[in-house]
Amino acid sequence: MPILKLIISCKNALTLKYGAADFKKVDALLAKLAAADKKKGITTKVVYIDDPASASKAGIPVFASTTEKDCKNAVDALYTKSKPDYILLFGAQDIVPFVSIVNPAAAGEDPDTTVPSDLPYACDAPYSTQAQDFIGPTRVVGRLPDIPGKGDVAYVQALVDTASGWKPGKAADYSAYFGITAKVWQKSTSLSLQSVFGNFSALLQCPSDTATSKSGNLKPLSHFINCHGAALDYSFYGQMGMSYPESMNTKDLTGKIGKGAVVAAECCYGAQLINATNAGGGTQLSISNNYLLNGALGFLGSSTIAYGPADSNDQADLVCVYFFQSVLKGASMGRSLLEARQQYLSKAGPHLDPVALKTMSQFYLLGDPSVQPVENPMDNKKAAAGADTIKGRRLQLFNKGAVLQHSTIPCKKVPVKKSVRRRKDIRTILEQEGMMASKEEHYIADPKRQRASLAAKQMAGGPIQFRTFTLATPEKGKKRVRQIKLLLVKESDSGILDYHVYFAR
Amino acid sequence: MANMVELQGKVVLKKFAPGSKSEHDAVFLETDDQSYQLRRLGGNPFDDPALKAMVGKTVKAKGLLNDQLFIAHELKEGEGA
Repeated sequence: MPILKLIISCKNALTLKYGAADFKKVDALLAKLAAADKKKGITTKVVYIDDPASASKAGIPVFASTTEKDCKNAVDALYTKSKPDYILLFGAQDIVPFVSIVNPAAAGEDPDTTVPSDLPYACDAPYSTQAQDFIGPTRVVGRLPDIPGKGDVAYVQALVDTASGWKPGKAADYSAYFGITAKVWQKSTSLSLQSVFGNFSALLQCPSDTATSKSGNLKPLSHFINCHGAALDYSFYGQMGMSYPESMNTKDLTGKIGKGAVVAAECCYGAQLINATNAGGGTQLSISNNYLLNGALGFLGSSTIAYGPADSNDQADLVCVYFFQSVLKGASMGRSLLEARQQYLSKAGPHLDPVALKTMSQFYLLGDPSVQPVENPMDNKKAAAGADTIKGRRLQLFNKGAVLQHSTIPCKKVPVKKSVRRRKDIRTILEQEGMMASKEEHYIADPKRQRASLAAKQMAGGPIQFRTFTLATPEKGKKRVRQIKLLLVKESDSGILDYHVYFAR
Repeated sequence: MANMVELQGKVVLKKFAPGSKSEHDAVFLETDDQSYQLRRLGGNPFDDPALKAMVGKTVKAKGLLNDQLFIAHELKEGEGA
């Protein structure tokens, strides 16, 4: 069977944004990408879900409107019809919208109301805005963005040229990295780099050694960034104490990136595609948009506020680490994201707390999902012997995703119910951690709500409860709030199972 | 699409997104009926001394409103206070 890739987009939105003449140029560029894919053994088809002829040719009904729900339904219909090995969503959110997931962590102090997400497009579950519904990713998906709010054919051409002209490099080409961290997260980032590259000797800390994207060497092909980020902003930031110096600005990237770079950014809003009109930013490009314009193959990042501990690895750290590990082993970028999602779900589950659900939803890949940064010599050898390794992996990943969908138990927020039976134990933890005056939220992950046999439900045990306690601690001797602790307590009917403390950044 | 609006309110300092990678002491503009995270166009979103100097004061601000984030293009102190 041929390896199939679908480029999915919306003709009306593109025509409105680019004008009829420039839409034809964009359409021709997508055809150019398809032609380049053909030489790589990939059959690529462009589908405009709102164009009757294109939709009919693809075997799906035409979608007259292209709301989030329509686009999700169209992708599902195309997947059911064709079982593509790669799904490329073409365009920024004003062409193919992200699905606005209700922020599962919003009940605490997290100000994001929704999480713009591509995760639903990677799942078989039908359209929904609940993160709890998308816990079984099965599809390889990426988004080749254009510039939000601006029809720029030259930008699209640059990205298509990068993807179509790429030939997989050697693993050694990606062993050197540009790694930068907020100084307060140095331990966490060191662990991440050690896991991916086997060392953290090249890690830059900000502030320290005047480490910024201006001073750092951006030519290495692997970029790992663990800094602060803000909504509608064109920079990332370091941190030491109350000082937050700029560590990277989009302007500093131009002409400095190594061709073929792959980026994983843990930063809050790290992959946000900014419409400059909303940010008052003039003609600036968001960091992710500019990375791609300057020759990066892909950018993995978050749409919203992300989480991770200071001194260990969890949440955003793990998604980025797993993604890079797959890339370095020779996976395509899209498969790397799917594997990272599945691996993170396996690690965070089976009972998923609200922060894990948000982490799953918020990371997306910007770049052509079929592009393989690093060659896989073993695959080439197997292909020569007639083995279809891509189809084999899709089968495996599909089934793994399906198993996760049924075996992972997402939590749901419930009204705070003070624990009577375990009051003493919880009090002990709160006292030990100095969190007696903290704000409490309550979530339940109930395996009984999952579809499973009676025996399986009995074996799964009762509901798991998560209690989060958030506390702002005044700095010693001062009135100003300086430190926040977030305590996550996991309980079953029989008692407290575990707890974790996340410190302020 | 963000709208250019004019807001008046009191500038206060509050913890933003505690426990997350964005956690910091952020400046907010508290109007009669809403609280918005306040930033200056081009200012450091995590540490803007010019904004922090306005904490406790009543200001009139003109800028872009994106959901709960207000990016101020103009800030005037004390007007209408």
